[in-house]
Amino acid sequence: MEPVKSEPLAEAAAQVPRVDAVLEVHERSGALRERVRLDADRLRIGRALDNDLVLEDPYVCAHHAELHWGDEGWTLVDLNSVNGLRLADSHQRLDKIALAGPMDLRIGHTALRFRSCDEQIAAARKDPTGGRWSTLLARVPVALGAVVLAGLLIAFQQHLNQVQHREWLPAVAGSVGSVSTLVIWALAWALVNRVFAHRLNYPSHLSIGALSMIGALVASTLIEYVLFAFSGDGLEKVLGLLSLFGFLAVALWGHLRVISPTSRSRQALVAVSVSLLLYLVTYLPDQVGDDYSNDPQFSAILKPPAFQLTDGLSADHFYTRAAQLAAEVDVEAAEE
Amino acid sequence: MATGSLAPMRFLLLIGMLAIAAAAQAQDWSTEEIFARYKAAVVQVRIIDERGGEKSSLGSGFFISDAGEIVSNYHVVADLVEHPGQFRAEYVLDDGQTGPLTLRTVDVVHDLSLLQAENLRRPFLAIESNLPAKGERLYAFGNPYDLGMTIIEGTYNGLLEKSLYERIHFSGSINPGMSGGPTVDRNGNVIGVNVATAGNQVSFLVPAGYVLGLMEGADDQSESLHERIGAQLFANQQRYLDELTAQPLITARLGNYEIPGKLGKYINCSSRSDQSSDRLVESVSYSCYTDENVYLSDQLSTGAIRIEHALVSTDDLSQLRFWALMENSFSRFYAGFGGSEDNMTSFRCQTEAVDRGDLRLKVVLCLRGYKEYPGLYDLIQRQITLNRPREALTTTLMLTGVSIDHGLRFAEAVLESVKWSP
Repeated sequence: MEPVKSEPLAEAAAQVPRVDAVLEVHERSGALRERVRLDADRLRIGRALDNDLVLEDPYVCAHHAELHWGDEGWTLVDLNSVNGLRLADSHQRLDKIALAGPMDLRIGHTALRFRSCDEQIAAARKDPTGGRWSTLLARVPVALGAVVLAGLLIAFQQHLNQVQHREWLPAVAGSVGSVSTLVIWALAWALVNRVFAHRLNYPSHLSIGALSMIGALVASTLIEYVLFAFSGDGLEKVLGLLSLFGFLAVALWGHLRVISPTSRSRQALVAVSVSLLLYLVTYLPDQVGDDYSNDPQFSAILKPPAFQLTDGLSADHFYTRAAQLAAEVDVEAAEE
Repeated sequence: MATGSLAPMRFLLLIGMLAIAAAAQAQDWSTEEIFARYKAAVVQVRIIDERGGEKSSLGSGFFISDAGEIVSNYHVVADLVEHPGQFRAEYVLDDGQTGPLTLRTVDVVHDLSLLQAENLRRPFLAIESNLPAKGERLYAFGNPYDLGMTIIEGTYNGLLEKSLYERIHFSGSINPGMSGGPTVDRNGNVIGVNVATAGNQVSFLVPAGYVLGLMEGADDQSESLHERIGAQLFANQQRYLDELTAQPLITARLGNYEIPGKLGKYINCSSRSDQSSDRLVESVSYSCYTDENVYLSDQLSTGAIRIEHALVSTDDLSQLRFWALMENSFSRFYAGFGGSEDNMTSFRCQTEAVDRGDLRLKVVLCLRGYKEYPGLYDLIQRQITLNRPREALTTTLMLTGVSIDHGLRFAEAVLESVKWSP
């Protein structure tokens, strides 16, 4: 293969000031392998070692193509190669390509990107990993403390509900399961973190999981006491679920932020959507399913009487409301 | 039960009775003679599944007129009422002859039905609404377990004293398949209709006087069978709930609380305290209930009262643990009611704190309706006292088949009768 004459092109190039540009060689994965700055009017590309850019690609000819500056700007010209030149997203073989950055090309099986040096560069992102919260959550004592606190709260809840035991030990044993789940949950997130950001960030994920669990436990207890104080029986299920999935959304958002510092609002949207989806999958079948039962389904919040803050209804008022209940039952009976 | 216009009916029946029984008056018949004389008036009642074409349930019955009128139990023919079009009834005479039966009317409260065989003239039995003397010999007829027509000798032991629904206590073995058959005295007069057994020769009869009430108004076409049953159930609950709420409820003591106790002679009460050695709470339960109810279908009975109390206290548990225990046990509640989505609505409940003088309670009231009998409900009221830090009295009232007015009035009476009186 004979190289084409390039003298006239070189003469023309002298007349227009050259635009600074680079040529990048990419892996198939998209990762950058090599970047060449175009600081001469001509760049020879091929497999032979006398080229300016040597490509180790069996589908590239010894002298495959030449990039040069001229009246038309930067141009890539095929040197009668076997496989020619292509645009990245096309199968059409070209003999000559006028380049304008950024532009993706293919020579043999090698991906090239031509970029002009005056290309617009996005503003630098503020580093979120150095913030006060994220530094705190990443500390091992904080993570361990949160896990221990979550475990104690669960043990306390179990202790309240297991009245067949006098001792604390069965309740503590009962909380081991929940704490293990927490540890595995954080580990799963750490592995996801490792895949996407090459770091585990395990203490951060553990802190976020444990704190969310503590939040959910405290909130559900508070909700019950407030509802008991003001006789709000019946609202505890909906408020409890709202708080549970609220804290799940917060936890997901926290985990996502540790993994990748991309747009906050998009991550929040993802976290809320996933929580909502989980809620629908978990609880919606109960709502729409065949829920007929010969036993009444009711709930009543009972706490130490001293926590009740408002007066109760009079008996007359209570039975007047019950008559309205009968009216609702009549409506259902009449539907048949 | 209306009894005002029974006299003419009894008179008519007496004429018929004379035909069979007059000769018997002065005689002292043996059991085999009694069987031979009256077996022709007794039939087997078969309920046939229309799709399968075979018998689905069996009972007995007897002629009470020469116009083919047959009396049996309601529970024998309940499938005809509950699943119209899916079942039919037929009789089998003592000589094996069979024929179709139509249902004319029912009395669900006393578990009776009146059936009609067309164009059939048979010997029939007379009704005796006067009760015999305790110890008198009676003879139950029927077809137990489809084994053939049978006579069983036993004794009359009076009316049940503790029953919401009048029943004769008959000491003789009545077995499945004999339901609806007659139990007669030695003159062949029907004293009662076989209805139930408690085993070991403890059996129950519906007093024959109610058969007369059944026949009265049997041909009234102004209301459907379901409307008639609904009216019977309504009148029945009105009878006992009006009586119970006419004066303040009779109370009993449980710890430092006054509670509704044995409210009437037909209410049975029992109590039990927790005896386990390593207990953290002291608990005593006290339950009062009616032993009987009204059969509507194999899935659903109604017309019963049940009141359960549980007094729970602790010296060992903290307030937090005690009330966590109460919260768990309060909502975990199984009424054991029957029924299905086909005939009942689901329960609807309201939970409120109620103040009654110086006693604060949390009260849950749940209602479900009878789809076939509008205006009737099952009612559950579950209440717990909130006046003591480590002691609570839970009271559960269960009423089945009540009107909203009567049910709520009784529920309120139960709520009012619970008092803290140290």
